[in-house]
Amino acid sequence: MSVLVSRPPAPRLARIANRRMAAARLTRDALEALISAGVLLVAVLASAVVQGYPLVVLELVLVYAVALLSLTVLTGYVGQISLCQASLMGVGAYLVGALMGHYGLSYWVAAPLSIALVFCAGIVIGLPALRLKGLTLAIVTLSLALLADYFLFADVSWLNNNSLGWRITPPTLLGHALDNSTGGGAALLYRVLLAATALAILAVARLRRGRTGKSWFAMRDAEIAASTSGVPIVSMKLLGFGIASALAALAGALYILAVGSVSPDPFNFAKSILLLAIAGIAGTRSLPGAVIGAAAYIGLPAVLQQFPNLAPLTPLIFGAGLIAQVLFAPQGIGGVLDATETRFFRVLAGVRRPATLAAEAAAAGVTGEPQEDDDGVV
Amino acid sequence: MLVLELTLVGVAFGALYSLAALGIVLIYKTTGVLNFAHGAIGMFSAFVAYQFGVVQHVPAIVAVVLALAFAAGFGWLMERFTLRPLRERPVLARVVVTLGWLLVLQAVAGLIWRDTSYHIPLQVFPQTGVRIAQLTLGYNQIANFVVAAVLAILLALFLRRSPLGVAMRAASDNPTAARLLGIPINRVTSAAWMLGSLTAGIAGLLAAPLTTLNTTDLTILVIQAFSAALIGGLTSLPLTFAGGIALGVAEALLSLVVPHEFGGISNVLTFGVILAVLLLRRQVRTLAISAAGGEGLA
Amino acid sequence: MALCSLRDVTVRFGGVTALEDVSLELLGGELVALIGPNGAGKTTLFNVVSGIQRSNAGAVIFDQRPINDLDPTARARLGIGRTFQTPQAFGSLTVLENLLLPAWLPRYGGVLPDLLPLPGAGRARRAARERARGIADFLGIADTLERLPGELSLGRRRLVELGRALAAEPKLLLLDEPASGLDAAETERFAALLLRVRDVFRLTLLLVEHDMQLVLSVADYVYVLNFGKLLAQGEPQAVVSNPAVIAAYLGGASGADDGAAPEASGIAAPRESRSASGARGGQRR
Repeated sequence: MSVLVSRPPAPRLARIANRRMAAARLTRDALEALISAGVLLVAVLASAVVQGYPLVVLELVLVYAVALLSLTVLTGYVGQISLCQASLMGVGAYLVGALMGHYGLSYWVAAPLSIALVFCAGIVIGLPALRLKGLTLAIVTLSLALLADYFLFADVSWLNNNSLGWRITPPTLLGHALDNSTGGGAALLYRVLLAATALAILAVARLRRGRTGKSWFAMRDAEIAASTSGVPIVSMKLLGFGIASALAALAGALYILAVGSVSPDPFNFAKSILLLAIAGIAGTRSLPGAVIGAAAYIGLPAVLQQFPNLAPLTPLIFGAGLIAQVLFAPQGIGGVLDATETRFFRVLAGVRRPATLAAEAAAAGVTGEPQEDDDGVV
Repeated sequence: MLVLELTLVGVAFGALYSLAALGIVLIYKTTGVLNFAHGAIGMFSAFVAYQFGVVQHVPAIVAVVLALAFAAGFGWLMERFTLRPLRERPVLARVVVTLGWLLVLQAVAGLIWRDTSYHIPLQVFPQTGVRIAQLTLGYNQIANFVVAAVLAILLALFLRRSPLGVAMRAASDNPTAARLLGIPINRVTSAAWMLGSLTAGIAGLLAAPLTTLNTTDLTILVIQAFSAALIGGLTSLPLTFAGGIALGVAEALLSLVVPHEFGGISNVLTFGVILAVLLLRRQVRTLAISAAGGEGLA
Repeated sequence: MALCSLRDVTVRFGGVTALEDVSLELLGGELVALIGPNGAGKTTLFNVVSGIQRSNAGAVIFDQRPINDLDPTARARLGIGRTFQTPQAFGSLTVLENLLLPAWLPRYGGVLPDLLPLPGAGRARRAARERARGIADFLGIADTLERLPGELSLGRRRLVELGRALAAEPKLLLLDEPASGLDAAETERFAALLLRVRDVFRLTLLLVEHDMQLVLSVADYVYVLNFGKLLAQGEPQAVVSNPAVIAAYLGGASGADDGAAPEASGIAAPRESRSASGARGGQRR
């Protein structure tokens, strides 16, 4: 078959194959939307059944899903490593506390303001990343995390209320206090968190589908080729850092809303490393991965807490899990799910496996290097 | 007088940074990997020495040997089973593995020794010192400096003169060519990790009496070590040694100038050094970037 | 009128001079080949034109304006596209998305059109997709649109990359050894394709190529680089019979280049368009 120059002999067949694959992709999108809607429905209904401590745990899962979403964007999409996402989350939470405490702002004003400020901070952090990558960026962000530990959360009295941290009065929505201490308040708080998390996930999903996401992927896959194809590298990279930081700050703002107070401990450098670890295990390129990761990040310690002296096991499990993930499942749990789904829908569409395709092409006389068989998931 | 005294304290601390940085440079030079678990290995070694020397009253020298054996052995295991299989993958994947080990070591140490309680570190050298004029020089401080200087010289000589050292340098310059020339790349990599971890262990043992022995403080010494290593361009051992000392002295003297009692001032300095070196030294930047290869946790 | 010209461009890497005082002109609608032995500086020249490599001296003029200070993205927007010696497709995007992105990007309006279902957003996407499909049809890779580039053979990956470059609507397209790894029959078909690309898309092509057969069959004009210097230029037939060029390809040409270059350009009979532009003839301005 003459694949190189003239059209393939049967463009009709090609069109049919394309249409089949497009149909399969639509089915897949529909199924994913259906599953998401189902999960969302269950999550909404959960607040009617779950109360007390388990509901607080669920709230924290939602908060950390947003935190992991920031790593999905930065590490998964933009392809940059960050060891200071928990610090950024902490800055977001502290800023909400400080803005409310010092200026008497309402939470609904303080939170967006805090997110906007951290968005700008993220762009500043992104500036060195324009010249650095990989290893060096890891060092820079880790030292930033340590700096935040010693400095922002301990020494800057404006931000941390003279090292006391902040306790906020629960904001009200439609006349009801978002307060975990009352049954009705807790349910409402949970729903607010759920709505915020769902919107954040939806926003990231839309970015991923749109020009922004495709430009990030192009840049991550082949930066030089992306630049010569017209992807504005500098602004897309800074935008990625800004959005990821804003998501981390949103997580911080939701954290102070859920917990009611803020202290340095959940945001220290070790937590940043833990967040990156769990993001890696769950799959940095996958949206369901962010939710699964958050469930593990909050759920595992919550379970271990029931047993005396087992609390330190959490970082052990996450550390070992991270090593195992890098060794055995480079795309993480979310990546494995994704690959399985892809394979399923390809079978459904009657598309041959890539290996056979390459073999066929070789037999047909198309020169090329031997195909690296990565099963279609890069 | 105060300045002189602070300088000496700075030199002692700086020697620790140098010591830790030497291992980082050695491993980076031969394998292209920055070991984030370097401080954690030192921390764990210090705890091993504490366990034998302080808790079980084994003679100090035996405890030291056991701790260093742990360090070298751990380096070997880590390379053999979790890094070697990743040789064909981007360097960043291997760096992420060292982050995983950081978490694991810290957690295991926390499980065994509890990170909150205070631990009396094993004193390798007597806690007293010699008085010269009006200055007291602790044996610990002297030992830090001497050990770091001697190790820097020995490692530099080793890399330049011994067959294994030359093989290490060749392996780092061009792994493929080195393999074609029949250099046993596996043995070289193993040796680099063992030696590198050994220096981490030595640094941990010496640092424990000067700082607090808990699971965090020694672990994050890795940042100061990175900073010193970057001053040395991640390649030069003598410059790394000098960089560590300079960093320690600068830190100590800064405490004179900065009136406010920040805990973070040394970190500000370290961060400044890291950023300055990375952004200004073109050679380091390209080195690090070429080694970085791919992006992402994949 | 020259679409793009290089004036006395020099590039040094440390002590090594990769390009030395290279001047050349690309006229609109021409298919120009750049040939030379390995290490002659061909890819460096490509990098200078596409903005990946800054030159130490000299000027790059595109559409009558100097573009020395523009980054690759800005140059891509002006209309300079390129492919790479080893294909650099976006591995996690499907072939369709690879072709769609460059056509879609110029209409990028920030994150808002991505986040909100604004009316114009869908239209821009559809227009870009139509263009991508048209290009895929033209190149004969329409059956791969839903595939990932990693699943394709090298030859088809090259076509995907060519398609991606075309999707950005370039005025000047730089092709870095697009036919390496193809057999004789495929190369012949590829030559026909190149001519059709030039005519259908009305663009100027600069081609780095080792396959002399291909160069002879398609090129309107040829530049020869050797050791970073322009060794000869002219019509393809004249250039290949130039003794200096032959010597360079057989090795040991280092002594010949300086003296031979003016002579070589003398061999080439400047065509009308070129003499009108007044650029040729071996003298540097």
